[in-house]
Amino acid sequence: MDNKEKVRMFIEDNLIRYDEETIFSDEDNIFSMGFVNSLFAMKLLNYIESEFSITVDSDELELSNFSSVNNIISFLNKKAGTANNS
Amino acid sequence: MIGLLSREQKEKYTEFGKFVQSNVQPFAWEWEINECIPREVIDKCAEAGYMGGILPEEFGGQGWDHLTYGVFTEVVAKASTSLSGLFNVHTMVMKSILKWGTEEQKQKWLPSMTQGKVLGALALTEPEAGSDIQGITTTFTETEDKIIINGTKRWITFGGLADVFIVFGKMNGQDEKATAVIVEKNAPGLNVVQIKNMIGFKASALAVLEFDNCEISKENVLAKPGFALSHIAPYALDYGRISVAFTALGIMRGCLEYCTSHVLKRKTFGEKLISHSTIKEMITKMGVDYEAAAHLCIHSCHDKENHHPSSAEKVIIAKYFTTKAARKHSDNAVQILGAMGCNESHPVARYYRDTKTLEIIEGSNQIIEMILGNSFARKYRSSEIKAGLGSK
Repeated sequence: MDNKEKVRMFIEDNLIRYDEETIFSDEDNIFSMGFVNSLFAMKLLNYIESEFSITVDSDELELSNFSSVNNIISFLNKKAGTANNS
Repeated sequence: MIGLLSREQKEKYTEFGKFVQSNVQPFAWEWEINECIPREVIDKCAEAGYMGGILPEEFGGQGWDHLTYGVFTEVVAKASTSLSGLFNVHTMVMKSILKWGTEEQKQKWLPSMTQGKVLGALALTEPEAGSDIQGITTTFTETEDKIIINGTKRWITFGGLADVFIVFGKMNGQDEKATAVIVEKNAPGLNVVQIKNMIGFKASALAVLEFDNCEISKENVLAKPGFALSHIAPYALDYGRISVAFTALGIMRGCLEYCTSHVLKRKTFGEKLISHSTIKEMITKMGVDYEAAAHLCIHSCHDKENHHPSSAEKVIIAKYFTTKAARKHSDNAVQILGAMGCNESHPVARYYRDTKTLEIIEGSNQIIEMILGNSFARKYRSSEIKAGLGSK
């Protein structure tokens, strides 16, 4: 499973919608769509830090880093220094 | 509980117990009457290294793991829930600065906080916004080099004793710019008014904080504007819920100890109370819930220690179960002890009052039901479908 699939699965597992057909694209802003609850931001941060063995620093707190599957992957690539290779 | 701890944690449990027996237990009732914890007690806690137990050694802490912090809270809470409340809010502030603060903020505040020279409190709740934290209306207005704060915070635990606050508000009144700032108690424009006559946690120095064009330096902003309610507050409250869960655990432990001593001595109709099936049932349920709650609390600490993504949910589950159980069993403890338990000077009377508060603070249990109800409905339905066992 690649990183994008991992991140997508984590988000799907933590949606607060009951509808199994809930669809969001890799570009969709999952926060503004109202799919997540108040715990989600911290869960996502814990997930990213533990799953990918990184630390998100205070100055990296930007909504744009975490708002969609693609943005999270871009952030992970930047942290890994592989943005140009992805 | 004790059987589930490591050797080091058991040693700390014994150490904490001795400290509490000498410095807390004999005086807890007096603190409740006076609605204040004396400064010299806090100094003794600081001398023992307890003010910054969970902080890293580089900032003067003891480097405790989460479970040791929990065990400490349990032992303290059995004797004084108010004192456990002090460690709760002080720890929330320290951990928030450690996680989100700049290097300068960490160096400025953490060493003096772990030494107990500076006490911290979290200023989130407002007269019109409690569990619904998005509803806060305190405003931060930027000038060239200052932040001007206007608004009111209420029910701030240890607000009457704290030297420094993490205050939550909205930068320039914008909802999307929720921000946290560090405010010293002597900041110009801040007025602190202590609240008396609470039903529980009577010695917790609750206060109203009134900000009237209160001025602070821009250097006191904690992390970036926009993340205070999505990251900083939940991160702090996560620690708060660990503390509340273990506080409830300590109360249950106290209920068990006082009740079992009583039912093994007291006789009715020629037989010890424990001989009566109704008493056996109450003691059984109390003991089983204590054991179950201890497992939930310990499990949540292990997940927290390992940065598991579900740790926040595990902590909420522990807080929910343990506070509800403590509420029920403190009620039964008063029932078992009879008139003795109805006297304010007996610890179970205090437990009875304090457990009501525990069901409300750090996210009321009704708010937790909103979160967990949704989460469980989604999680277990999803698992069923993934396993191919259910239909859509």
